[in-house]
Amino acid sequence: MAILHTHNMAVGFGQKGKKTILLKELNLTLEQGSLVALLGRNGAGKSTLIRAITCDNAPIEGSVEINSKPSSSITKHQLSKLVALVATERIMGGAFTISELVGLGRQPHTGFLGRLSKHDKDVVNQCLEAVGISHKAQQHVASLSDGERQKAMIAKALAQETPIIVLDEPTAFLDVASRIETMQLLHKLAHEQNKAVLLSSHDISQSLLLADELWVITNDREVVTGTTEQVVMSGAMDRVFGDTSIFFNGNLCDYEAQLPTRVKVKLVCDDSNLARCMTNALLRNGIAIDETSPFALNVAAADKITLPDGKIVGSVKDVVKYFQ
Amino acid sequence: MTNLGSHRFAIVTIVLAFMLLVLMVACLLFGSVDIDANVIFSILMGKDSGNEALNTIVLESRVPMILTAMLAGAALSVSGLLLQTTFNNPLAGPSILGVSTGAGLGVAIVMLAMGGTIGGVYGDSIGGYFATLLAAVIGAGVVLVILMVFASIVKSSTMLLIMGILVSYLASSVISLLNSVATEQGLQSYVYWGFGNFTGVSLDQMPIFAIVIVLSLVAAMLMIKPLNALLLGTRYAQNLGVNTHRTRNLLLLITGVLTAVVTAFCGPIGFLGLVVPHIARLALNTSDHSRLMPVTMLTGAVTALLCTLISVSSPHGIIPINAITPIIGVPIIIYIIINRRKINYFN
Repeated sequence: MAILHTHNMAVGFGQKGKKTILLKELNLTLEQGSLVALLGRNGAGKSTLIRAITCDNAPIEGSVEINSKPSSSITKHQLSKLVALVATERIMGGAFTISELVGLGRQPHTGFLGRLSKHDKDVVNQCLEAVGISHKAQQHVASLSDGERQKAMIAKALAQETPIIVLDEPTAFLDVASRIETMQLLHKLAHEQNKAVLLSSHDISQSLLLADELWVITNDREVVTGTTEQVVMSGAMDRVFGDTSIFFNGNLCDYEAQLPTRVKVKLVCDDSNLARCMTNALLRNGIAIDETSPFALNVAAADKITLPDGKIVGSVKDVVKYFQ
Repeated sequence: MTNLGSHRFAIVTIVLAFMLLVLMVACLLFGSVDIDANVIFSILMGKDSGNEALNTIVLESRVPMILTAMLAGAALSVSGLLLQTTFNNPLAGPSILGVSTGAGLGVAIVMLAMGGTIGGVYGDSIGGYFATLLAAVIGAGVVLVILMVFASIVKSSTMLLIMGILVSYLASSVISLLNSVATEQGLQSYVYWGFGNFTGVSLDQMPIFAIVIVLSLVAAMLMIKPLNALLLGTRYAQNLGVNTHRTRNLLLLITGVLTAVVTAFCGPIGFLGLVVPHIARLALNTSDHSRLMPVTMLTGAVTALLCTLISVSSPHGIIPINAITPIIGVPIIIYIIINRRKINYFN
């Protein structure tokens, strides 16, 4: 079910009355039960768009509608029960326990003094359980790793019990393992708890793997939307960077540099992992792979390469020497 | 609140309450005049000791001094806590950010330029002390507005501290300029006021002093929920439904009134506002304002009474409060700065 719509929305920033529009004519839709990844280069307007979706900043033109209600008629308090945010800012409450931090997510539902009822505490425990940090509930935020902190903030967002969760680069400071874990968690939450999850990210491969939909901001400031496969097939991924030396590799689900190459060879290799490693090694040494090339390299192992003349060498360096 | 946390909170509160009681008794017993404990007790019980001078010392000097110290200590400490959370800066405090100096400038304008006085010791004109009080509130308010504007332009918390120090310098230099045109009597009362003391509130001024502070402290207690949200930063707080703009303004208003009232009556007392919230956080090991706030109040009252006790125990007359607070405050701040990586609430 669609929970959020934008109508001909334009976003940007204004300084002293002079407004700069970054993205315009946006007609976007967020569906419950779906994970949407917002991709784009730095400065493309991801955070600005996120701020408009979370109603932190009003759009310059057009409108945002949540639950069929225009955002202008939604109070801050109502909004806190509709959209939960996980931002990039580091928080100052290092001496909150994880359970207390997640408890703050209950603020939209608690009374004037913010005391948690039995029900609130149950919700907090469920949220800790859902992100998998129940065992750290009584530890202080300061003692957590970056990945655990991010999970705690996601649990806080869950505790708000909103239909929409928006995350501004949730995996930015995380190592690969935590990045994958966080993305999988968000995917699971979107599907199991029927949340509309929108996240901005630079993590292309994980987004392409786990996002149900993509919003891709291209270099010419168009926002291409659709299911992940639709967007990838539309070629929008190639238009994210204006730079022609960087191109999208659909096989790798990631961007690659277009390296200058001098020769082309045909690679014969049974092991696909080895083939990929060898391709990279040859590419960075100026040798491109081309199935139609008359020069065949037969690779049995990383240190056992048969040259076109039948000679066996032990490294890519020797291959380079041969072609010189 | 966790079980462990509430346990710790109970212990800390009981210890502080006990210390407060002991210090109150000690401040009653010790002073420049030796009075027998039984006599003090009977005077407090409403019996006439037969000695008018002793009655006056106990009821009109020691009792108001103890009440003043407790209220002022709690007020400055809570104002420090509110400033630290509002500005997201653990080294903020009313004296370091120049709020006390701003209030002081207001006081100086009234005292030095207009010849008004404050405090039972230096004059009883009601108009005089109301004018001083108002001037202090305005002075503190102006500094807080300057800080707010600056904080919205420059995000760095270090820069904000430097801004506070600059504002202090500016206010101090205006005060020095005023000194040059002041009457001798005005100057004398201003210099005495500047030392800081808890003896400046007379019994008939006590109700207004106490009511303003208690009401402001109650107001601060009512801000616990948004204060906790603000610890997550403005964006998260807004997302939790907090009207951050209004909350900040309210917090600064409370801070301004607390600092101004104490500064007007007791002088610009340094360090309490900066240090006490840290003592409370270290004691409780929490960021949660529902526990920090009451413990900060109690710790503030205890610390101020301790300073008072030291100030009146000297055989050579009263030591200025501002000579004592740095001795307690500076080592704690240095400890905190050195150990900040190990202290939970910093990280």
